[in-house]
Amino acid sequence: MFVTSLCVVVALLAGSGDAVERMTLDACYQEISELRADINLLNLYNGLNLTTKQIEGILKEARRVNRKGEKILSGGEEQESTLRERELLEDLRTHLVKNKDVPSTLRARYDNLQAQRHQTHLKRIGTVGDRKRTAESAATVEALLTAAQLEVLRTYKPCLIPPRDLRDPVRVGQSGSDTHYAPLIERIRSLPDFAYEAHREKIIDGLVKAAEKHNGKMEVAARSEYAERVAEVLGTARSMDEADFQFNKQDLAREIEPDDRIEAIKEQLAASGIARFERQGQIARFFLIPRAIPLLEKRLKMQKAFARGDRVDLDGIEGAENCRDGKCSIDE
Amino acid sequence: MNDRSLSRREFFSRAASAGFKTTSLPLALKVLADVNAARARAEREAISGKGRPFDREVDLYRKLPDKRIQCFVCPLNCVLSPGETCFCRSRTNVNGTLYSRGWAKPCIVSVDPIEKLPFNNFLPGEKVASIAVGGCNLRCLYCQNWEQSQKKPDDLRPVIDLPPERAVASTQKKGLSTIAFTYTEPTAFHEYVIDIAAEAQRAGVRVVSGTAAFVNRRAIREACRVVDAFAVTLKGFDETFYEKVCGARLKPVLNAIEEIRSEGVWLELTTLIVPTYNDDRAKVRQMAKWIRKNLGSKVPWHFARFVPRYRLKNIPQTPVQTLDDVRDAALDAGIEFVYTSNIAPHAGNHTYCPRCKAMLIERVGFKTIDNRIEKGRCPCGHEIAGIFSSQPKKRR
Repeated sequence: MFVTSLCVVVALLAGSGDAVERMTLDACYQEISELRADINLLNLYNGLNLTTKQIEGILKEARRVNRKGEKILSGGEEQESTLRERELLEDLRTHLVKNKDVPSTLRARYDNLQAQRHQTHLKRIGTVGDRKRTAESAATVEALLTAAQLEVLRTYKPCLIPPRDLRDPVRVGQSGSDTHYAPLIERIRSLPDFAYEAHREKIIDGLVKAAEKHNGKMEVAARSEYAERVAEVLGTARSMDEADFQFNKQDLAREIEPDDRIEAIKEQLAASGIARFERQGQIARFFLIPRAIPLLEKRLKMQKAFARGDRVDLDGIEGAENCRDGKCSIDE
Repeated sequence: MNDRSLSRREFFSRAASAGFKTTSLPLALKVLADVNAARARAEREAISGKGRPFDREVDLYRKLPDKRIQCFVCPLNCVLSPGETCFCRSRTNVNGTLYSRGWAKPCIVSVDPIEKLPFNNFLPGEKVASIAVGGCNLRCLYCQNWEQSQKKPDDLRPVIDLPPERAVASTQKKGLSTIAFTYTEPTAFHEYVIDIAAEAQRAGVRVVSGTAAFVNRRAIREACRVVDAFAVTLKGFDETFYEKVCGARLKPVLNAIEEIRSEGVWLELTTLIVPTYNDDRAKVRQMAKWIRKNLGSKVPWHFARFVPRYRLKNIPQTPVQTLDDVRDAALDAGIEFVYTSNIAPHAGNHTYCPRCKAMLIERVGFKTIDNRIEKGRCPCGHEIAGIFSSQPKKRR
């Protein structure tokens, strides 16, 4: 008897431990997803170089949209509805375990809940009137952004570590390629013939796999077409003399860069006239959601509080190598 | 440790790979060592005058007693004994004769937008064949191409064999009509610039140069005869800044800029704004005043965002507000075309009409989205300073 009780207590404790861990893990997942959302937004805001005036305007619209939302659907309301749904489903399971018919009271509760969920859903996505207001706000934000910013927004892909062209563009007078395929071709080109021939298939296969990893699985025909293209480009690159190769390496790189399907779909959308609708959707997703407000508020505060650092004392720094005495020569 | 037994295929594959590595690696290292030794030997022989000297004798120098020479390309006017090399690492006294080490030996050849020089009022949207040779007569603490600029041209790898006629022919073959000297300092390979530009002039190809203009008057005058446009970096506006941050002097740079302007060659200026070093609004106003007085208000001026590089990694990149601030100061001082670079998208990326303030060329960074300039004029009729037609250049 004692042993049985002990086992029950241990099992309960173990069970509660699991639950605690589960909860912690769930909270962690939730936190990670929130962090990801914030980082995605911050990357975009940083990449757009928003002015103080623009942030103020966007914040005004975001607050307007979200104030309406709060009135329609409070957090408590949503929680209550979720708890009710859980209770109902538990009761339903109990009946079904006992292989009993579902009683009419439960059916009524179910119908009631369905209706409530529909209402909640309508409130969450916004009624027709609210959607109209969101669209109005999105249009206002769109007017605040410049064409160049809208171009960045159009091509923006949510990311944790932003690509170089968004955060750190190739700078004035800076050497370097805008595609990572150019240095790759350069390395493959520098392989001696025997090594290239020995590993040719492997190299091409690797490039095809990399393209698929980046852009999704290719159909058999597209895959072999891409492999042929890669083989041809690598062959051309290897047969060129150094000067011709240097002049052409970026074009060659572009030839084997896998087509960006998402970009292609976006361009089709733009061509079909849905672009504006899509852009307003993007604006709503990136600027008019509740998460955007604290981030933009912080950014605005930071920009307003900006103060330039004190001028450095140039006499105090370890200066550049200099040649003032005419003895400038460098010995071999 | 994985104790899984190997399949026959895995065994052979690993054995072959190990065999390849053990035999090919020492072989590759030996080949590399031989190549390096041969290169060093050739260089020593060239310098001592025993072997084949470097390909091109420098024009602007004088011979001194005891086989010493004095170089006159840049204001450092280096005096060299035999075997010594100039401060720019690009010219060497070989037995009493001064040779250019980097002639026809570029380390970078690529195709770029002309906006990267930067030029915003000179053939906007044009692609150029960029050429760079190692070496530089400055020592900027923030150099973003220091891997190339702070080395001897023949120490860089790969070095491309590109004599002037080949450079021009390759440019034309690529369908381009402009060659740009950029990334490093063209003053360090002045002779190569002049030879390519002369060849390009014969072939109707334009030549542009991105330079710090720390160069003697005679050399810049020589360049002005064959170069179509200069993008000059005016790095600051006091001697201390030039000396401590760039290892150079301001006065000769201002002289060279004035020279370019007086020769009637297209000129655009760039100032890299380094936070707490040269972001002083008053100093910018002072610069603007000098530009207006000596060059005119139509010379485009770019403010570039500093990004931590080389020996100034402890300073953050320039805040957007600072760039806005200095841009406003320059516009207030009456400069008509003021740009911000290394930051996109930004209102300062675009070209505006000085009269009606309409946006004429809209850009995201180096990419042109829209160009509303027609025959060099804004739709309001105002003539926009710059070169907007890519017709073959006239011979000066």
